[in-house]
Amino acid sequence: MLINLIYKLILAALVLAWAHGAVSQRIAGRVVDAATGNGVDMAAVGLLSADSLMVGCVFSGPDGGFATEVPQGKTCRWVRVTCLGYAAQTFAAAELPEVISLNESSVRIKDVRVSSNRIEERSDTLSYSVAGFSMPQDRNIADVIAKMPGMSVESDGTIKYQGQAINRFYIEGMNLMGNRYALASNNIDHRKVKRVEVLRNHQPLAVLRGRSFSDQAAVNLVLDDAAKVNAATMVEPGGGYNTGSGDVLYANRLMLMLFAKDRQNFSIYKNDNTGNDIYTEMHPLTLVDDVAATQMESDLIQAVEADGPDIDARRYTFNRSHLLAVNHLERLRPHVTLRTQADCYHSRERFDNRYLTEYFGSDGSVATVDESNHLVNKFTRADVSLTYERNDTTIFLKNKLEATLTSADSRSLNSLGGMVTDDFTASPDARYLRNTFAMTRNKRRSSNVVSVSSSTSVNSQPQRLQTVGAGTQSADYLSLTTVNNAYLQQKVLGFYLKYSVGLDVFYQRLDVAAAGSGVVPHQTMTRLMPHIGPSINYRRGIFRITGQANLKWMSVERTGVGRWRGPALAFVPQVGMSMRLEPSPSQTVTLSGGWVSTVPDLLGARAGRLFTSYRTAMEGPADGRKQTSGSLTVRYEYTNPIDGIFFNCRGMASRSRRITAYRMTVDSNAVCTIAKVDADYHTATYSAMARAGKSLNWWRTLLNVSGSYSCTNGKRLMNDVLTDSRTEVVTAGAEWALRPATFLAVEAKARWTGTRIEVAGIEADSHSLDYDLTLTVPIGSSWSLSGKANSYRRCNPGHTTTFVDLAARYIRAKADYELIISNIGSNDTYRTESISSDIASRSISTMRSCDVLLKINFKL
Amino acid sequence: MFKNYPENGSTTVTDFLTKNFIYTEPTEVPEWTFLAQDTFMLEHPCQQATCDYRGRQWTVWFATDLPISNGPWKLSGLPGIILKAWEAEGKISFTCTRIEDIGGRLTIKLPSLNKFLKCTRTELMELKRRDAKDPLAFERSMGFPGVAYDASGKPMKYKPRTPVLLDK
Repeated sequence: MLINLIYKLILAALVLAWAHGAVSQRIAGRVVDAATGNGVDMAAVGLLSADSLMVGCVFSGPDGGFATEVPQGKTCRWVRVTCLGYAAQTFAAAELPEVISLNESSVRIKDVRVSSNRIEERSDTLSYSVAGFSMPQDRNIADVIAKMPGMSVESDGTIKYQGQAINRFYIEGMNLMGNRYALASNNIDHRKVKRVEVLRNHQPLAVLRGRSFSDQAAVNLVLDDAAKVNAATMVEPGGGYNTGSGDVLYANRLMLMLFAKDRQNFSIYKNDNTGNDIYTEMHPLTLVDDVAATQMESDLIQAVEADGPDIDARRYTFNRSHLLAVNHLERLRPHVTLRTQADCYHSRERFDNRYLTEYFGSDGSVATVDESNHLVNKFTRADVSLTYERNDTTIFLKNKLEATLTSADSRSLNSLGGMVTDDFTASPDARYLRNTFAMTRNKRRSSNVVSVSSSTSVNSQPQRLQTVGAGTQSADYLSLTTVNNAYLQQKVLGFYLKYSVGLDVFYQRLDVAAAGSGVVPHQTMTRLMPHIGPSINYRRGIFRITGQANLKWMSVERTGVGRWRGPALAFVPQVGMSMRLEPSPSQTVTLSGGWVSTVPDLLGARAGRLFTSYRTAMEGPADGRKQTSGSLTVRYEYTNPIDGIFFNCRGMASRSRRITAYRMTVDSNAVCTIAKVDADYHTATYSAMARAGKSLNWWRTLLNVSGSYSCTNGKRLMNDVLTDSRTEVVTAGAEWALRPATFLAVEAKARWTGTRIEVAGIEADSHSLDYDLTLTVPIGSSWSLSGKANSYRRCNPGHTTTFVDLAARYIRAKADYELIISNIGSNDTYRTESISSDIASRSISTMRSCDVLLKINFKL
Repeated sequence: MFKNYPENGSTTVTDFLTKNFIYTEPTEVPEWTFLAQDTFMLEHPCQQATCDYRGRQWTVWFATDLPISNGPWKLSGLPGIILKAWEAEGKISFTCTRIEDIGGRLTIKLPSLNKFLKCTRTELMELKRRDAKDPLAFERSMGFPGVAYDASGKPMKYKPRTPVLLDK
């Protein structure tokens, strides 16, 4: 019995061994020198899978012989034989010869260095060393981020990674600033930040990670250990005088920062009358929101026009600005935060401009308006918000209540055609209240996700405007909006399917009181928009696809309009699709497209005559017909952080159907009337852009080059006939920063823009070149001197204007002293000429004269 | 560390712990597992591989187009040179930051190894552990004064340190 059992076991073992031998793949042979026939020692024989990745390896012995078996579970499709001093050879595994002859060959290895100390890559996170990229002329973390390859900072403070705006800005992993992060990035000293982390493909909702994919990146500031836990106070008084007017200058800053584990606070008060635009810092930036939310609407009317020249606004702005902002975040429990933000801004700005504007009327006439204004703009804005957020892997819960109040009062002493007119005033006030609620939940051990969201807002704009020829216009606009959405996401056969339903309701009312004909005193629009939106997400390996359709039905009810040409009930679908392919870890190709059908709201389909500025009126019938547009975008991204190379390019084509053209006329009072006219035509836009950045350890150099081209083909009315118009814009830019020696840092920027406008065979070309050069000379560890030249070259009229700033800085442990002399040698006035398909404008603006300012930065 | 010295298949390790020490051991090549991850480093295509070696789990990127079976420390045995290596605890990592054409110039000179004190690998590891635990006591055990004073004149006592690259 026992012997029988032993026999069976031995037999089973033999069968298993045979089976094992039958499935394992054996690779054997001999490597020889093709010239001598001698065996090659230590030749590497790599076993490659079908995707050319190595699954095993063996080295040849002194006689060149080798033998190995492919690891269990792996398949060898190719065999590659390499050896230093010989050319590599690759064979199909099934056709591997017994003797492999290698030919001698030399390979020249390129000199390569990496900036591994400056950029590190771990999975989807890039970590930039702030010390590695900062230059002596940098004052804040935004200055340093702008010098990191792959990153850019726009003039409004938006941070972009590889050409795409970030979706979150974290400080020590906490979202303190929300969409007002420019306030932090423009004021936090870069010396307090250790690293800037870029979290690529960042999905802000923890509950959706791995289920819903994002192409956008987030930025996380990792602070220096000394900047954590303890509250830091910074006091920066600054005072000086303007050499032209003798006015006293001030630029003060008081800042309180606390970045503890469970609590963060960033509070700041600053004031300025040196021309700096501090409003940009508090202005909310566009972030991809967690949920579909209503948006604050833009002003119905404009303040009295004060279009400055296309140069740095601090050269011609005479301001008195104050900004107070308090941002506080409390971590109530792990993953649960309560954020309070309160910002207030007040400014009084003065401009002195003269304009000579030629209007190319739709009837073929050319009207010239000569005007000058002495303008004083007062503007106040207060924002407050309270946000509760729970963001963990099982539930995302958020409620944000926010309110905004703006009050504007602009008063201008104008001269039209050499005749002094009355004071023109405009007060485009606005009040806005919004509550947004969202809940997204998934079940444990299940891939199902359920989400509900609701956003409700009230927008009120009581706006007054004194007009030319029509007295004072009073326009009261009110809108009530609620956007509600719910969806269920399921995983089926590897696909994430989402079924969403929703109901959006819009009520808009516009009351206008003004003298003159054509004014519609009261009009309303109510829209009910139920919608369903199936969408699909799929990801497998290097491939990802997202598709969604939003099928909307709209019921429209209008009052106060005699002739309404919009639909009472409409089907307004929207479809979109995005495909993303990662052929290698460093390359990404994205193809996205969409087709949208829209029906204008009350402001777009407004009836009657309405002044939008003191001498510009819009009028037309209420046209609410459906418009459609489609677009296709292809994007390529190359990222090689080890070598410090970042490149992205994008091509886009879009085509839209228009149903309205605009007829422009200028009357004898210089009132420009833009009237809607029925038309049916298409516009097409094609654009391409590319940006490449490279950092080198050689002199800590950063080089960015970028270029773009866009072409828009449209129509405009000429002699009441729709005529082709074409606008082409080409830009090229370069940024260069380096530190060739410890006593010198250089930063240079150049940007060239060329524009060509063609209407009915008539062409107009213009180009401009802007360049900045900053030289900083650090003297020891305490002193630094810097000089900045800021030049603008314009072809029409052909002139070059240069502004020079000088600064001396003395750094101590607890205080920095800085003397700044700006606008050295600048002219009193600046001339600008611009042209579009409708208007040619020449302006003369009053410039700031030389400013002298002393700042002392105390760190308490 | 001199690989394939004094003969092929052996590794000679030198270290300075108040005195110069040297030991020679047979080269022990790690048993590598290839991973399906690839990237570019220093403009060279790289693949990831991992191994358990001398008590640590190492993960490396090796260049598949540079057939040099070598790498930092004692890591070797792959069909390409190792450009980045790190161990699972996160205490040690190596990154190749530069590949330079030295034009045939020899930049590493072999020191006179006969002046080194011979020891075994385990003896040198033990010396390093003792040095990390209490450097002053270690100095005294090696025949040096082994005392240090801070700015106020008080005798200093070093905190224990963590020695790296010890074979576990």
